[in-house]
Amino acid sequence: MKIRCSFRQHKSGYHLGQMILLLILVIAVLDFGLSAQTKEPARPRPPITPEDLAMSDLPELPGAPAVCLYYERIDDNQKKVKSVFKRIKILSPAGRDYANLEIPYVPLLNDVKNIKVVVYETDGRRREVVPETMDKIASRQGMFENRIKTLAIPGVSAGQIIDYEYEMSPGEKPGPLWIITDGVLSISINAVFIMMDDFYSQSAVNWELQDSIYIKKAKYTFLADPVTGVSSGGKYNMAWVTNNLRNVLPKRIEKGLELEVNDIPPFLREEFMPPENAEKISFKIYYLPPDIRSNDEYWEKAAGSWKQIYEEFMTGGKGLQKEVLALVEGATDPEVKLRKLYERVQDIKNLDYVPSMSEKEWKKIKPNNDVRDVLKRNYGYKNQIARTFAALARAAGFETYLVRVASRDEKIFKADIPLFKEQLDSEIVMVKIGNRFQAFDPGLPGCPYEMVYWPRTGTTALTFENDRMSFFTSPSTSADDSSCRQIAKLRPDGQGNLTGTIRVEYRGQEALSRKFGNREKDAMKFKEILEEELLKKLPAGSKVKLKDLTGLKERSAELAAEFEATVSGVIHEAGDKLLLPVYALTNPGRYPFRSAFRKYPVYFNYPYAEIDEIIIELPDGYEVEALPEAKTRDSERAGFNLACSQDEPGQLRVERRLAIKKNLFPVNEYIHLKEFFDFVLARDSQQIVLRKK
Amino acid sequence: MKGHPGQINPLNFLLKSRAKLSRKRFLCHGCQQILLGIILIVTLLGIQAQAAPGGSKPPRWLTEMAETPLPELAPETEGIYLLHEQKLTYSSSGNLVRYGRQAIKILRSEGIERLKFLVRANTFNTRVRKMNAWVINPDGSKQDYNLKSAISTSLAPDTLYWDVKTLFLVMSEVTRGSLIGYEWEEEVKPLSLEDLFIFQLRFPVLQAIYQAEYPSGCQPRLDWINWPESSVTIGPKSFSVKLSDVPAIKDEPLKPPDEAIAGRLLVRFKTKNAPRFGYFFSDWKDMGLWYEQLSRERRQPDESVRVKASELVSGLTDHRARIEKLAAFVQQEIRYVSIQIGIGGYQPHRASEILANRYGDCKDKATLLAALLSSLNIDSYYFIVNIEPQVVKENSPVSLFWFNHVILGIKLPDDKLYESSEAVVSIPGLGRLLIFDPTMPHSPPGRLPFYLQKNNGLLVAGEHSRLIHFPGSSPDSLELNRRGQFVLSADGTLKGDVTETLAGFQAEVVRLRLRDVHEQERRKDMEDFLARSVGSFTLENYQYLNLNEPDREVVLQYSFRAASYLSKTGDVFSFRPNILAMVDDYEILKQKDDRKYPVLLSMVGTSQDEFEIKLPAGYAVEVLPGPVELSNGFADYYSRLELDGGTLRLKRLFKIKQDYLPPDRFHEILEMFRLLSGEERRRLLLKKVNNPD
Repeated sequence: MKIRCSFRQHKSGYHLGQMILLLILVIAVLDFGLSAQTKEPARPRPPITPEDLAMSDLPELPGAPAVCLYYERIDDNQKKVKSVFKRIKILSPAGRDYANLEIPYVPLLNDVKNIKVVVYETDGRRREVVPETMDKIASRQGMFENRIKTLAIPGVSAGQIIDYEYEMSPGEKPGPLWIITDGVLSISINAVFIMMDDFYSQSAVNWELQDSIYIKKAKYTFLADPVTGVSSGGKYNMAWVTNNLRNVLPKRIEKGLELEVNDIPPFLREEFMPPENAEKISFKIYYLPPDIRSNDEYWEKAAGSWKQIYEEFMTGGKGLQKEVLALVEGATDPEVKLRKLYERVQDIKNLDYVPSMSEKEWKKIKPNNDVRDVLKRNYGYKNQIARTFAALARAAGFETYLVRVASRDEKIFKADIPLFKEQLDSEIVMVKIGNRFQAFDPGLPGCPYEMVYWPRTGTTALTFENDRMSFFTSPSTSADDSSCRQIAKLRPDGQGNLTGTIRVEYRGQEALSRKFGNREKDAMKFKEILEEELLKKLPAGSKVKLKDLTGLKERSAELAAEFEATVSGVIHEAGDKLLLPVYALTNPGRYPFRSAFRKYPVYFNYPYAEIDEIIIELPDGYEVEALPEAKTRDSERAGFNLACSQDEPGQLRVERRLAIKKNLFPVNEYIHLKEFFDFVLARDSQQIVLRKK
Repeated sequence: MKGHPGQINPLNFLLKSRAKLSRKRFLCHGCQQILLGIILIVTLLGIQAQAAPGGSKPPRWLTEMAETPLPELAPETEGIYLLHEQKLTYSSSGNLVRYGRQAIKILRSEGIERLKFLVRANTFNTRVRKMNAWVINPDGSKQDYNLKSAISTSLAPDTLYWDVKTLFLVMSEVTRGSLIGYEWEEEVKPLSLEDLFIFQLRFPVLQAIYQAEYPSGCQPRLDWINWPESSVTIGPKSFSVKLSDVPAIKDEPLKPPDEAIAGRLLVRFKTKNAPRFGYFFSDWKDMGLWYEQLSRERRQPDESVRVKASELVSGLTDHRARIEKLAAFVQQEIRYVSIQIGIGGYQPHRASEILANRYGDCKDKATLLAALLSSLNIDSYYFIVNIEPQVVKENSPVSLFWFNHVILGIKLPDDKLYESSEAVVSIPGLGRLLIFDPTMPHSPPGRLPFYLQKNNGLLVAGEHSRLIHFPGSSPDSLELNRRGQFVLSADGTLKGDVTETLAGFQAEVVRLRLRDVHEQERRKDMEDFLARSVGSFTLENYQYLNLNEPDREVVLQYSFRAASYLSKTGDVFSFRPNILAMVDDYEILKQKDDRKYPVLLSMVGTSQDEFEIKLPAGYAVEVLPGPVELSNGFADYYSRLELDGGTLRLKRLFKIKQDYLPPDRFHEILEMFRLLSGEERRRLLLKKVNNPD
């Protein structure tokens, strides 16, 4: 990671040690600074070419209803003005919807001004439009209001080009606004935000470069704030990071940066793709204090601050020792001791996941200053609970490390984004037991002992021990750790169906994700969900009814559900023979990887295994004529085996195992993955042939 | 019926397609159904009202409800309305004051999200005077909310701008066991002297009460909808009704929309003297006259409209060609934009304004077309309709509440024009009218859009105004014709070249889904279809023809290759000869328990497959099965396989004859779709032969 750009800003003349003090004092500066806005000369924009006028389709995205020929955005943080210009070519009648403009804004902070619209006919004739602008409420509650400037450009048809622009600038007389959220304090005066996002960093701008429309050319300009939350002596550094933007670098301009990009396609989701934020094309700029000149320095310093904070929080003194002694009383085995400590912290009310609490109850919640408070009050936020477990384990004599991790369900960690708390959002605990280190996830309600919930497995993790920061990858799970085993006993019903029981045993992440994901559902809803899930896997018209469910309430990584099932329409008569697929518990229509093309990596939540043991009674009067050959395939990516045998007279036994051994498949491996699933589908569809005796 | 990639699943298409068509709005009154989209937005955003500071105690009527014994309820019941009350006071000032209160018991946590908010709306003629909400939680804690805590918004689905302010009271502290109370009051300057009490909801109602008070000289008229006439207690200037144990509306696949089946009470007031506000519509003619008066001036052509009409039909002398030219102009060139201010939910903009802007909503489009036709001396009349089927029935009582869309009836000069069209109705005194929807871009003149077929609409034609029942397509109409050439190779690969011709309903829906999307989405749609049909495959090429020409059939051509299509087990070879799915999904087979509501499909019509499958050299059909045939009141299905040398010829035909089946005929549709489901998976055996000839 690199700090790409560093420059000196205006000297504000303020040197403030404490950021909050800075925020308060900076009000005066901003108040007069904003009043001195002058009118800018018109900005030159690319001319409309004959090719633009003649364009009738977009070869890069055939059938697109419209294309953005040029997009320009200027974030002038000195004047607190955002300017937007768009040039849209309407390619088809559906593209006319782009002539309906909706510009959201927050009246308390800013206003939308200088809206200008020009329409170009296909012959190049220019028509300036003064559209009627309407103002609608997006949401309003008390003084807090979000509004939308709305206008419909008249006289728009396919073939035309629309230019429109507007400015978002501070409102006439907005009042001061203080916002305090978890760990972030911001003040707005005349619509200026000064935020301390994170340890030693502040987000300056985030440009999501992909829109719902193809963008041929775009130009972004950023002019930096005169003062930031991380300034020192009027100075700060600026860093930027790009995501999926190849071979493009911003240009440094006076007091800012300029970025020009071409051919940005709209973002299209794919099944089984990584978190969208990790794949969307974007460009972000951050401010850093002047003494941080590289990303390494940033992480080292931020991790040090984190360490200092959590160590203070974990300080428990003799009280903690007493608590440990009371908890492990009588236990001599270290594992037993540790388990008791873990169960204790799991019983703490987790405020991050509490389903519903009255205002009265919330008012009773006091801030916890350290683990003693957590234990005494028996509530805490997820990371406070993790720290409490770490403190207890350490007090009990275990070698213990608190680990900060990036939950990979919503993001993929990027080292060049200097946002410690946003990126590394959760804490897990590593404890040495015997000769091994074991990871724990005490901050997740219901997480079993010695287990970590999947978003925090196999992800970027950080520790700060012995005055050193270390990045590493948190422990991963294997396909064997998370399985879904189906044990079915089925018999033909004489109408082409198989009926009987299917017992599904979920283990590891398969159990935990179902339990945690549905933790607020009642047992009846949970049963419905499991029924629906199984039904989706089976051929159309199948029926299932959950008869028994075990393990739902236990803090374990196991869950078992027993269903009565009718697997519909799988047995077919062909002359004097009966045919049925060797793997009847599937619906080929649900096959996931249909397309020959893939844009984004394939991302499963975790490696997993599907295990099936199916007993099928033969129908009366029939015997086996032929059984499909056993098939096996194994690679570092995935494994599959399927075997059908007749071990006992009158019944068939099908054994199947499918394992996905890793969770991330880059695009260049897609073809292999697709080929693997094609293979599985073909093998699953092989037919068992029965004949009349 | 389904059967092609661009297909609409006839079974579940109703909801999907109507969502797409929901752009059409006639009436945007503050009724609750229309606000569902906004409710969703608020729910998704997690916006919650703040409890009122200081707060007021729950009223006695609510606290007393806490003691109400619950009847025996199905265990899945998520909540119950202990009281659902509405009171209307027709004041001597001419205003209607509507008061309501509800007491709701949350029985399962699953019910919280749907029951924890109250929605009302300030509109041009309705002012919300009071909104209160209280929660009494099982732990004894209480919360209350009032109008000041409400969140307001002017967002509405598919409406660029309206001046309605929707008010939400969303409660934050509701748990299982909570008792919720709502109370509201609003003042209405009515357009029509009527009130609607929807007493059958998605949750059971223990007690539903409606009361009305009215001045002397006022006569109430009550109509029970979807509910048997019930007893009414009549006072000197008041009446009341009380209902007990109203069952909840439950979900069933392909049931009619809730509006079409919910028990409702419509109350209309006839006054001795002319009311200060609003009208009493004694019959449909009255309403037609009112709307005619409201819109008459708006549809008058001015010079610009006359000039445009002349320009459009320049050189055309044929009556039909002139109608079609104007219709196409409005349908294709006027973009759909809904801007509703004041009475603009009912009253169209001026024709000249719509023409100048080149945009408008459904009533605007109908108005402009009427004006254009008028300038050519062609008469036309509005039809006011509801695009949801079965909401307006032939015996529906007169009400403004039923409608949401406006179309046009164009007077035809003689009996010859559009002689065999399904879109023509004969009106005594007016002659033949061509029913045409200027908002639906995919249904040219002569084609009645699927959502209008067998629907009912109010003809606005002076003294001739009345409710008209629209015709429907013929079940014999061939709407999907698939011709396929397939080659099955000995290595198991199936290669297919298919041409599909789509007409009527099938063409409309494929255009709705695919005309305005880019190529990647069309490809994905195609791949999804093939995956349902053949599992794993490679799509080699495909193209849609005539998507932009609504007066022509849509033609879809595609080629694909599916490996392992021929399955081998020992010496037995088998494959599925029907190859392509004829039904999109089998949602109907998910019906649990006895059928309660009618089954509603989007269409009647015929689908046909004619496939030739070249068998691999050296293989022969082991047993050629006989034809499959099923005919019942709902549909006909016929399938026949013939062998012609090494080529197998398949002919299939599926004709849906009824799009509306009462619950006691549910078995007919079940029988048909079970057969079709089995047919999709039916296999044919091949055997190796020594002599390929």
